[in-house]
Amino acid sequence: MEPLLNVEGLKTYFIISEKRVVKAVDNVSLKLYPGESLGLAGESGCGKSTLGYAILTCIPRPGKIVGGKIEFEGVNVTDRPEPWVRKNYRWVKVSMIFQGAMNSLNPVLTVGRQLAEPLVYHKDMTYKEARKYVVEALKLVGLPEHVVDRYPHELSGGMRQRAVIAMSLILKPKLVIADEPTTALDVVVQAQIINLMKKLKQQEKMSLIFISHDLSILSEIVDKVAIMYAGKIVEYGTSEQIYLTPKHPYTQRLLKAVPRLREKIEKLEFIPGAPPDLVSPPPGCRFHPRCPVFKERSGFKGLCDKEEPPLVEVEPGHMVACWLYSRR
Amino acid sequence: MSSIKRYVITRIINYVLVLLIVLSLTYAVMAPIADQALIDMWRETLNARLRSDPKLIESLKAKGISPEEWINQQLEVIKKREGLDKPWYERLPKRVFDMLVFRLGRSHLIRSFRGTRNISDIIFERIPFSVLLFTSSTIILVVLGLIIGLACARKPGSLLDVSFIIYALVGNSLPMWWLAMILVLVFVYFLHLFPPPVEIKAVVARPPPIGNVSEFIGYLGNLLYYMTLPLFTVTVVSLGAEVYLMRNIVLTTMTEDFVFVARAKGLPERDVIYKHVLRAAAPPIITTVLLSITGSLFGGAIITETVFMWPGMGLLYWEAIAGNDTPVVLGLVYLSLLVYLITLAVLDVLYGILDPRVRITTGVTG
Amino acid sequence: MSERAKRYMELYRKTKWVKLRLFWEDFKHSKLGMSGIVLLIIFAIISILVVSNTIVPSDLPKRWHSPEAWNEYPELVPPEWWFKITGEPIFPHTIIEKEFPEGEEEAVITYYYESDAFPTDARLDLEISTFNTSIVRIIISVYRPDEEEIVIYDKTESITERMNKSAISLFIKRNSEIARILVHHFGIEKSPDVVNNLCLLFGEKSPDMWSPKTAKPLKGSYVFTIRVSTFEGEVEVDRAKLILYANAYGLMGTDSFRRDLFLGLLWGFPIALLIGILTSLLTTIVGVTYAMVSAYYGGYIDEIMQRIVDIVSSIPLLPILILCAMTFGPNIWLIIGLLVLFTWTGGIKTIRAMVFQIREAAYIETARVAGASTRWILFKHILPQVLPYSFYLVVLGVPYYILIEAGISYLGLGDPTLPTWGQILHDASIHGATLGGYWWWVIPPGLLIALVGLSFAMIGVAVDKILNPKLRY
Repeated sequence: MEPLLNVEGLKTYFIISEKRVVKAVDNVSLKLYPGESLGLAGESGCGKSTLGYAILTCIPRPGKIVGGKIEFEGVNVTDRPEPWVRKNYRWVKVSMIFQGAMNSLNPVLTVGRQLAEPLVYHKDMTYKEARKYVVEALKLVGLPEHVVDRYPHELSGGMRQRAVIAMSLILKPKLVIADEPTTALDVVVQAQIINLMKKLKQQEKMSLIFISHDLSILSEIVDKVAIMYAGKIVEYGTSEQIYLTPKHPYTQRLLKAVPRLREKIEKLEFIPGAPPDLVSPPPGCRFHPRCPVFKERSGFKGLCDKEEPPLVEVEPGHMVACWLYSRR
Repeated sequence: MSSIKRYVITRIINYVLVLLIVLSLTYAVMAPIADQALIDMWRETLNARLRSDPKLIESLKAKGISPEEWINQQLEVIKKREGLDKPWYERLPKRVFDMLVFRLGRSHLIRSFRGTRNISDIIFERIPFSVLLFTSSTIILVVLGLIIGLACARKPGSLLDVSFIIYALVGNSLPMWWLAMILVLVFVYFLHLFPPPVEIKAVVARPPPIGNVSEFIGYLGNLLYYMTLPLFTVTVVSLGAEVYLMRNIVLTTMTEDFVFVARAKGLPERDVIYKHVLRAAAPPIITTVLLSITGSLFGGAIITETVFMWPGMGLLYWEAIAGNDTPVVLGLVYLSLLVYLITLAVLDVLYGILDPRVRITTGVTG
Repeated sequence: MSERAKRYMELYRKTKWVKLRLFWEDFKHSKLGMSGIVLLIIFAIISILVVSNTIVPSDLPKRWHSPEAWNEYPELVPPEWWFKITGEPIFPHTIIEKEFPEGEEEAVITYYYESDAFPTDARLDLEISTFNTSIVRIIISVYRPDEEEIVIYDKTESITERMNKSAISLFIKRNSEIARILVHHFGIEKSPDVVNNLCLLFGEKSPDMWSPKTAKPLKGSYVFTIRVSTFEGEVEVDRAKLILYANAYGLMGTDSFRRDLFLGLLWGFPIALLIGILTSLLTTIVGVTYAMVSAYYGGYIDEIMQRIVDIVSSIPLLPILILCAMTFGPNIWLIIGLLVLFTWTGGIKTIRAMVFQIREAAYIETARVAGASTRWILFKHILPQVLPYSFYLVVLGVPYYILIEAGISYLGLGDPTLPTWGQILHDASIHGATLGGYWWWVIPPGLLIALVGLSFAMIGVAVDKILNPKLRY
């Protein structure tokens, strides 16, 4: 089967000035098949959001794709000129659910108007014609019809987030990227949104990339998980593989930091140190300054701090980039 | 009641309140002094009557009343007639009401163009001139400000942007009326391109000849010709600041998330700017930019009028101050307040229409 | 205070200064800001010099409004350097004083005319003493280098007291009698109203000598003879002074009142700075405190306080200022008070928004739980965070208030005891300086207002860039 999305060696840098270049996404590759849902996990600043923007080919300035390619349904979209991408790809095939719905919606325009915009621009409808599609989309996410004429500030946080979800689905895209859609919401609403997304995933048979720093949420909704650190994918596998048998030291520490309901916890552990500087990242494996293995076990000095470990398969479908699992 | 209606009514109530409070306070503070001035004025008039009318003196002598006594008697009559014998707080409601219906008294120094001494006539003749000047400059400032401000916001740090920031700085530090003086010096004295301001007043300061069409067009032409320098001054001084304000508002709006979302949804850049950025920036533009223009007009432009002898409210202030004509100044203050409040009310309504979030009690000022 | 509290205060104080130091580091990078500071320092130095009586007499404000203090200065003349630029000849300001200790009945003053230019006016002052007489005849004649002798003054004055010293001052320029005499003497076919007396008196004989454009100065010795006589008693001249007024003066010229504009302009510095800074400071203090209290308490109190703000900020400033200044007299303290009273609402909106944000922070709640009083929280926790923006408000306010004060003075409602730049412009306007082309009266005052305002504005922009990172470019 052809992958729906094929990212190869993608490099997305933010060029702030000649000397300051933030390597937000550095040589990332992944494949996504139709109907699959992938979770992108990692700390703040690890590049997961940027990866999402890059796949959408809409990176905030001063970001740019400087290397690699993104293929969607076999078409290399990184090659295509902007007008083509705008007409045929962005929001048509791939759309995004944004974090913080309050800021994603223009406060002076009605919700209906903003939801209808993609229809007006891509399907050449008038706002009047688009209205019924908008109402349909709203129904899909469980919102009543009158929301069409409401302004964002008139809705509750949960309703706004649903509206943003509806906005992403309006053109019935093949792939939806959800960028931390639940982070700004309280737990009850969070649960509602997650349930909604699970329902939609099933119903509309859409492929999903779910970006979050919260591993517990990811576990509920995605089949596969990619753990990112400092702009690179360090571990990749199915949810079970990642959660039950995490291989990368970073993943292990991440999971330890999440309390589990039925386990007895002695002490919540955290990962010491600070996220790395993406302008001049640490040489070799980017995690090595904070890696307990590197610090405590012998035999890794001169390796982890000098050479980048490749992504290798440790079990079918489970990839790790760590010198623990690669021969040198 | 819909929220818009409620908002508008709240704002209007607020301004009516301001009007009443300011008028009452002003009257309370000024009453004793104004009364004295009025009495002195009547005394003068009576003295003048005595001096010019020998027959009166004769008849008084016959009755055995000294001129002094007669004046005092007459003053008592006048006081009763004008109601000056009652304490000020009893007179307050009536006087405030008088002001509200524009019964503003008479001036002993200044005449209206038509020749009456009615203060309300005098002031109402001047208002259109000020309004004309203010409105024209506001339109130019908003249009130019938007165009240039937008251009600056799209290329922050560019030569255009930096020049306008400097322009804004300089414009805010210059006295507008001083620039007017310089312009008169240059264009009237040195270059002889425009006539001396006295001529302006003579030609323009009369009731417009509505009857005759060709005369009217001539009048209009003159009006526009003479308005060039004042309009230029007001606009040039304020433009920098307005561009800077617009640029800042647009810049901050452009960094909002929903702008990015609009681009992601596939809107072409032009529509992103006009349909999302400008639309969302309109409310703060109204509050800051238009309010700032209003402020600078009511401060600087009023004084600038006097330099060009543009027959608006500003020139009337100058004349009344020079002649110590307090009743006229009072009337002017009232009318200035009224015009100012009406402007604020209009801005409030505009703001309420444009920004659906604001349907609360504070308008542009809060 | 407990040990822990003391340590906390130590740390807090240190961090406060660290924040300020960082701010200063950022500020130093701004070219605009630093130029503003440089200008400001210059102005401050000037002000100090002015007020401390070193380069400028400190009694100038009093002298500014008394015409007698200036009557030996030329009237409405441009600065001296102007003539150096245009190359036109300067007539030097000349004062010749002669004392006659013995007293003369015939006093003589000689002046040697060398300049290529005409004086703008001339004046002869006499001090005569009389004894035992009430009528005195004074004859003043001029003997020109071309041997023309003209009697320019022949009058009989009556003296009030029998024994007396009197002073007589004869201005030549506007004297219509002298004009008639001169016109008649030289046979000029022009009305005495249009001729220039100085040109006639000091010019080469020619039919065009009546106008400064066509006359040429007659160089050489001019002998002014003053003869006093009386029928009874005695009279003698004690002192005579001849003043020939220059056509240029000083660094900034003079105005219609003969005042040296340079002095007036210099005095404007400390006054403008005082007014601007004081008013801005007061206004900001009131406004910020009000906003802090209003926002911190929230709820009903905030509602009511905001209503008041709404009402006050709906009042147009200038008309009210005009009214009050007219009614209560143009006193500078009154004006400052009114300014504070009606403009304190300026920065309220932003400060209130800031305080709303700050008060939700956890450390505020901890402080409150720990028992800190409201005043403590306001001044030790909230105020420091609001301080940078308040500073910005003060800086931005200064040019605004300087401008308003200048405007009020321009309208004629400024404090008459202080020579402000606005007042100078008011006088200029009343005396038709713009239409008369007296640019040295019109340009410098406004320029200085703009410069002082500009220096503050530059600092303000630099501060704004640091405080408002979204606008950084």
